[in-house]
Amino acid sequence: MKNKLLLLCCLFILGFGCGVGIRHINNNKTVAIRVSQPQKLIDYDLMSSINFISYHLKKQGYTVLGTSYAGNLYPPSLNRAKHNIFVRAFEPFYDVRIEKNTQNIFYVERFVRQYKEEFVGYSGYLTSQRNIQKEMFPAIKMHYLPSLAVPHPLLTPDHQYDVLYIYETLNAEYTAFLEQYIKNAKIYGGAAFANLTEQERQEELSKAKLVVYIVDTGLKDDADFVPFAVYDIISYGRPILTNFNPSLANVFKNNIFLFNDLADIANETFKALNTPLRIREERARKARELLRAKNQDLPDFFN
Amino acid sequence: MYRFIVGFIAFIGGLLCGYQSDTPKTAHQLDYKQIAINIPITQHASLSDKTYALGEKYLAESLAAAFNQAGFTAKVYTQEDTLAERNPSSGYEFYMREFPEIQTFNFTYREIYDSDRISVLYETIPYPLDVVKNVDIVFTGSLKRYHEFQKSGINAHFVPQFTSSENFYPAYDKKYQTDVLYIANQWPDHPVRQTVQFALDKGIKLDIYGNNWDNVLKDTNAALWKAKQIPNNQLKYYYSSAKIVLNDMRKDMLDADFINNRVFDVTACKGFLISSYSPAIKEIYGDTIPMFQTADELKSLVDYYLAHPKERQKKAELAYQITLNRFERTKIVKEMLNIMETYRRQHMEAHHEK
Repeated sequence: MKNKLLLLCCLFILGFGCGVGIRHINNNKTVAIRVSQPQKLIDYDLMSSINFISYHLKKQGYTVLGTSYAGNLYPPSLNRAKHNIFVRAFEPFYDVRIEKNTQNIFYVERFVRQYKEEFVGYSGYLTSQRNIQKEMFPAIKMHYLPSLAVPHPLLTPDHQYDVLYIYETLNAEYTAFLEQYIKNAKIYGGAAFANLTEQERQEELSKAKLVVYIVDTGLKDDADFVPFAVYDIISYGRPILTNFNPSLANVFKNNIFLFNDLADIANETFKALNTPLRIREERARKARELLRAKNQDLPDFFN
Repeated sequence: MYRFIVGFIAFIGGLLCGYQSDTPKTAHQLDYKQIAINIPITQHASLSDKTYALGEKYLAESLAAAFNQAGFTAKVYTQEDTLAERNPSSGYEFYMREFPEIQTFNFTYREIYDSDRISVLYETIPYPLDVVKNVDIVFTGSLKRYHEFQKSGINAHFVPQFTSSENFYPAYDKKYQTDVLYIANQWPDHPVRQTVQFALDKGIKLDIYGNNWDNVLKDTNAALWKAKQIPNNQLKYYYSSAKIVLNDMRKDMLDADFINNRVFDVTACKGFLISSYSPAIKEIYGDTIPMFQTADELKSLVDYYLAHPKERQKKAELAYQITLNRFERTKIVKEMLNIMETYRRQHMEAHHEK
């Protein structure tokens, strides 16, 4: 009887040890993404960058436990994360809690009002704006995360609208142009578009003959920076018209539509819509393939 | 078979217990024994400047000392400290300023901070309602504003400013004796402070201490300006040793019915105070603090009380008792902590129910 009890205890202890070990292995690769976003909505571009970071981490064997923001940065469900990515949105982080034995990366996708005091206490820094960062904060060593996109499924076109216009900042002139000349257009703010479910977003993108994404040029971005949202649209294989950018023009050539300045958007919209449907869709598919080829293996943020 | 099942259950039980045992249940939790006091000073280095010309700094230091005495860990932070990782686990954020965390245009405090942190605003000067409504607890030094906040559904409490009997106590020293003493800063690009203007108009000889008086006190009046700042720990000697100390207030504070700290500090040193007219001072101190509204009234009060030392002493003694009984730090801070802890308990219960 005594031996049997002893054996049971040994089995329990062995199980306990295995449990701790499994937990340890699991936790070592857990990540929480915490965003300094007070509102419940996250802008489409920022959301695309977060999705890309999650995708990249998963590819490297990490488990992304979730994303937190809007006054609930530290939910219990993310407590066991051994790694944190603090994503700087429009507002600074006023509530950075760093646990011992965790790795914490501070990521700046686009520089807005930024203070040097924000760059304190993290394990590392990451940005998608290498030139602006060097100009604004030369003393801080930051790694570069190029803007790319999650490889999405190719959407089947279902042409119900002529134009789906997604904006970072509403362009009143272009809106008036759409209302007057393109009767069949749909307009979304970046945050509203990001707030749709994945299925709804895909449906909206499928319905549009042309997706117009106008970048907020008021933000101080690197000259070669392309918002993650632009790549996200390309990744779905949808025809896109967006701001001219040398890195887009060089890679995608005439497979995407680009405008030089705001006065040029109307002409380019007509040009894109007047391109025969088959050619427009074929080019969008080609752009998607080029984007896939552009996707590269990025280094591990935490090592 | 039976033995195998029992052994298997023991192993699985151990496995589950082991797996759960490592769950960090306390990660990111706040410590409600820690209080971060945020003050309206830009640079961290100013905290060690003993003659820094802003009363809130000394009030905050005094507050922190009292919180620490009460078993909490309180620390004072400047604006520069706000965004740096400095006290991430403080359960209470105590604001003696409105910028930048509370003055957020479209967001409430709870949206930019995690919802388990408790924000407290100590209103020593009037802030806009849009700012005040953002925090969990408001302490205001104005009875008038307290009633306004109550009507707006804000969790407000009337908690006046205070003095510390550890720092301000009767400490007469002949070395510091003056007839009429005035200690205040002249704000750049603002009209000359009323008390000084009246005194200059009527030829009252003041000993003036404070910043930015060089553009006001020129030529024959230049000698009235004695020094820029008096270190806070020496003020008691000046207040105790002057025959008369003069006081005035900013218009916005006067309109909102605040009482400034100088009133409590001077009276705590048994200094005799003459103040510009304030209904709030009148209500609390009665005629123990004589008040003026015109230059002539100031002149006659100064002349009269310089000539009547016994009356000065009598009034100063009465004002001292009022301050000690009602505006001593220990009492005020105890009241603050009671309110904060009651809120915390209710807040935690509500949080757990969620």
